[in-house]
Amino acid sequence: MAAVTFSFCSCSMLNAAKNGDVSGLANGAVEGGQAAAALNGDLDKCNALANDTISYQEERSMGGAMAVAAALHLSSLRIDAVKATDTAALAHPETLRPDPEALHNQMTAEVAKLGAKLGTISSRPEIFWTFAVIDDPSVNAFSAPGGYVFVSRGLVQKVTTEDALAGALAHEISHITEKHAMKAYLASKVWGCRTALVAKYGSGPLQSAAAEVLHKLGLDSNQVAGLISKLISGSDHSLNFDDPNNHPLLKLFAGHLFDSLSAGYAQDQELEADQGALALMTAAGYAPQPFIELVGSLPNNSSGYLSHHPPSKERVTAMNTELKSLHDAKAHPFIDWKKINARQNVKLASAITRGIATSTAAGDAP
Amino acid sequence: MKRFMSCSIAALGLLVGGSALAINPGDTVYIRARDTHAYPKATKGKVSGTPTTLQPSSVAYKWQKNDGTWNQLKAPNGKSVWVYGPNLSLTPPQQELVASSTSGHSGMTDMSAADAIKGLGEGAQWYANDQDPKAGDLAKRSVATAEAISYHVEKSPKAGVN
Repeated sequence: MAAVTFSFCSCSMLNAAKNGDVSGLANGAVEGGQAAAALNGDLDKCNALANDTISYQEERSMGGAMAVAAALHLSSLRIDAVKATDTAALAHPETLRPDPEALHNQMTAEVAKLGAKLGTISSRPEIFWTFAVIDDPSVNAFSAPGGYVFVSRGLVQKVTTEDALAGALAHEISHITEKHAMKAYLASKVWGCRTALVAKYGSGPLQSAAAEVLHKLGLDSNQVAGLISKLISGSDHSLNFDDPNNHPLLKLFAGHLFDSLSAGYAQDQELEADQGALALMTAAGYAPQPFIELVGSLPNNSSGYLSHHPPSKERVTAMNTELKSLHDAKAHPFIDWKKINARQNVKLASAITRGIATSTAAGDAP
Repeated sequence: MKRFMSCSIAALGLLVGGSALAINPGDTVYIRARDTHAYPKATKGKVSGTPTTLQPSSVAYKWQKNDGTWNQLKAPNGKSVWVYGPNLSLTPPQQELVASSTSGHSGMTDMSAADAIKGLGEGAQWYANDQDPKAGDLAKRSVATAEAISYHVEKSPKAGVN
């Protein structure tokens, strides 16, 4: 996945703040009398946002913003051919018209079928899971808050078995069930809160830098600071981004979050998602080995999104250790190893391979 | 010696097939999968009868026995049902309030397809246009279509594991 860098990331101090280290902003704000003391009090309230419990509604709407940002910046989703009213075709993807656009939708539907099997038995079975294939030749995957899971055409093309693809989907699902994206979102909320307050009430170079961030985003410092003050003064910090009054905050937080998600999760979170993927895919009856092999085949020094993953060798070793613990029948009595062991190279659904072939013929080769 | 014995017992458990599950009658289990089908009967690994639909919850069921991947559970009301193994968990599932009365995905499960396409919240739609007024519309429609496809696939009986 191509890492997208927004223009407001040029200041190194703000880069540190953007990545969750807000000490730069805090230190700059403590200088200078009564006003600074008041500001510091509010900045502490910003930090408290990190401990909030985010409602699913807020999570999903931020995830929706991330999904459209991915569609805009990372690639073309190419999934807009089927009309919403064509319910029969959507419910029965095999009946879709055999043109390239419809085949892409058919491929998305088959991937969604696989994803649904995993999502509905995950630890967050009640959220609304959305799956799509991004028309991108690189081997990649992307998850956003609220249940959005995108895999690239290049990844689908690389896997040859249903089990390996299930593993890749389960890995992304695990990021969402473990709320890794929500931790990133909370960090974005804290960063945005502090940036807005420093821009409005701070002084010196930090104030200038923070004001520049808002200016580049096209946001009005007074308006945003007002919204932030209202947010942190109440006991309920939840936000309804469908309310037009909150759109400036959506813009402030979403840009930062998209940068974070594009850069990838922390290495320990990637290992945690691998563990979760194994537990989820084996619970659903998929063989784990093809996924472990897929991870093992990934280059250690990938560029872009994958560069933030731990080395493949480390991931494979950790997954093999985890696999042993999943064989503990007392802890995991419902994993049907007999059925799993009987799965031998179960090929991808023909709709997926046909969709890939059409996409590749129409576009660039990976 | 003790280690050898436990290995032998485990191997024996695997040999007897249906009773290999390391769970005992009376143990507590939970429904963890959405729209789990619960059947009244199971014979030789196949279920029959009209299923009821159970949802993930902290309701404690008592495990009774298994027939292949199907598990007989006793509900708190005393009724016995057969449920597919992958839909069960030893721990209660995480439960969260998904629906809201305000906007966005409220009541998605009750939406028609036309409504589902509107699943992308107004905030996300605004964000798409704000980011790129020209390409924003395509991005919105792409994500909304992915939502609609996923919604219908999930609702299709063929998609479920149960």
